[in-house]
Amino acid sequence: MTNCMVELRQITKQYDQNTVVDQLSLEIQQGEFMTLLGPSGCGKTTTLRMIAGFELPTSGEILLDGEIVQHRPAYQRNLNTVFQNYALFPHLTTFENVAFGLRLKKIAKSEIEKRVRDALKLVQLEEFSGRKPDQLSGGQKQRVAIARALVNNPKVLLLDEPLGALDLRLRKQMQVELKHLQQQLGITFIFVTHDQEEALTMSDRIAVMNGGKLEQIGTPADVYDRPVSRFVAEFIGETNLLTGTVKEIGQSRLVIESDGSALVAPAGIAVRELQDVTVAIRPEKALLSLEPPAAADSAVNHLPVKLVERIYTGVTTKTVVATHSGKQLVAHENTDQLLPVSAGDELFVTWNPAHSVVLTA
Amino acid sequence: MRLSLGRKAALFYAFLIYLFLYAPIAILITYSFNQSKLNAVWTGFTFDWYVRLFQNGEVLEAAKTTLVVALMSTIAATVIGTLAAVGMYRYKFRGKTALDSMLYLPLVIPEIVMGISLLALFSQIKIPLGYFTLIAAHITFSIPYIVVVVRARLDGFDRSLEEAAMDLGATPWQTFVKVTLPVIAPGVVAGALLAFTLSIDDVIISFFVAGPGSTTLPLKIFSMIKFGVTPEINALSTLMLIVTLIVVIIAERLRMNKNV
Repeated sequence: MTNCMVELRQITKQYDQNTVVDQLSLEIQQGEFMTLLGPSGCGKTTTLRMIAGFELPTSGEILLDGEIVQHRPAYQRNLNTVFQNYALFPHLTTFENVAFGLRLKKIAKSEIEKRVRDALKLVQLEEFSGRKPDQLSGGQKQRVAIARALVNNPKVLLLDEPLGALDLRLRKQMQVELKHLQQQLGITFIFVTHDQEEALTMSDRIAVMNGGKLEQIGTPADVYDRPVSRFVAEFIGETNLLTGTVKEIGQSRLVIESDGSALVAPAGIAVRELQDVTVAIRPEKALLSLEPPAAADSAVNHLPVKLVERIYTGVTTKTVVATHSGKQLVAHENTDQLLPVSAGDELFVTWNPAHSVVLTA
Repeated sequence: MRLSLGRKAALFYAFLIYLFLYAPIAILITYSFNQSKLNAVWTGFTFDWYVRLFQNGEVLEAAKTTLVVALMSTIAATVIGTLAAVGMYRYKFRGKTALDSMLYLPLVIPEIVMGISLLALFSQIKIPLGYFTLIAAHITFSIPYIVVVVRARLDGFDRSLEEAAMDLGATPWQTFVKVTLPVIAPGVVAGALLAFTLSIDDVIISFFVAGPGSTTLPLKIFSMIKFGVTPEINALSTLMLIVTLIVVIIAERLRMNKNV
């Protein structure tokens, strides 16, 4: 790989007998916004800390811009970190916090002055350069932390759940700002979060981690539309999971029997006949209708269901229905065009077979 | 507003407690301004005793010794104690709990035992008693106090600050000097001031390890008392009290102010 900025080769981290990161391999391209996504304890923060140099991998190699760095101390790696709790130096002003890295590099005073001003301008904090961290709001501290890291022109910026402590509105705003900043500067970002929505909004690619292992890596659309496992399907967005058995393996389609109905899914997944599989359907792909599709139209999946309840969420309404066997499914209806049914009424859930995702794991 | 009987009793009780605590000191200070040589009768106000004090060569010499010993021992104990506290905070190693508690043990060892053992040690290895032994002894009993105060400050210290400094290119030494030390500085200074007051006031340990040419003020007072308590001693004690109080107040203010 010519443009590979960070490469992890078979990284493992163990604490005592506990394996936190297990044989993780990952390649991150120059200028890419890569998100490590997973529930707490999945090893994503440990992975980031190993890249930063705060933890030594038990085995495996870390390459930064082609150089093997896992034994190099943090202060000899050309990357910077934005910490979850910001970790601003409480005894220094905003200006001195941002200038910290440059002062260590013995850069001329006038240049430090200029670069710090530029960095503070970048995060719109020019007027706050004389304040101490305890005189700043959470969002401002966050910006100082970002400026303090970026002012050093790192090859890679590591961000450890940097937006976790901000309220929802500020979070959304900072997500957009961070993404713009990354595009503007062209720096490689490695972003750790447990918030799947954040990951989908910001990332070029997402590495979904679970139990110290890489579950799936791909673009936001890949992991959302084509999850490879139940874990990914359930962790990212809402999803309906139906268990079934493979009945027919055709050229272009699979037929899966679930709950007494035959469901069609696109081919392309390695399955054998009679294998137990899970079919995932996103709520927004599931449609509701009062009539079953025309008998000829076998190209549409449908399940007879009963309406359980409706949950108003604004533009859409979450409609919960149950199959004959009691399995609950969620479909999103347009709030302005709700079907004229009420709880207990019978109706059908239908969806395009292309939207059936067959999961074997 | 009429106070209930219980409330009156409570106030009176509190008054007695404070009287008990501060009456002796009040008497000491009052009689340092007494014209009479006797601490029994008040005959009139004077600064004479203070003037006499500053003309007494031996007292001034003892004051100098006290300050030199306090300063030197405080500096040495602060460096050693701070490094010990930071080390104990940062590293995990076998036997840490035992070593950690052994750092605090001198706090509860009777002073007289420490004095005798130090004297025994110095005579064993044939170090003549004087400035050196005095300073060494004061360093010994000051270290635990510094460790206690600095450790308390470190409890609120965020490890990620050190990681942030390293991340920005600081070596471990630069991290300590530019981040760790400034953040825990109030604790270090408070510990140093505490050690300073302990050194100024110490009698028992100093009694064993001071040589002929290294009499400290408390020892001087102790020897002057043999000829009776004069208002001069009252005046000297008052001055020592004031110096100690000032140092302690500064130390407490630093300790309380966690935001510095």
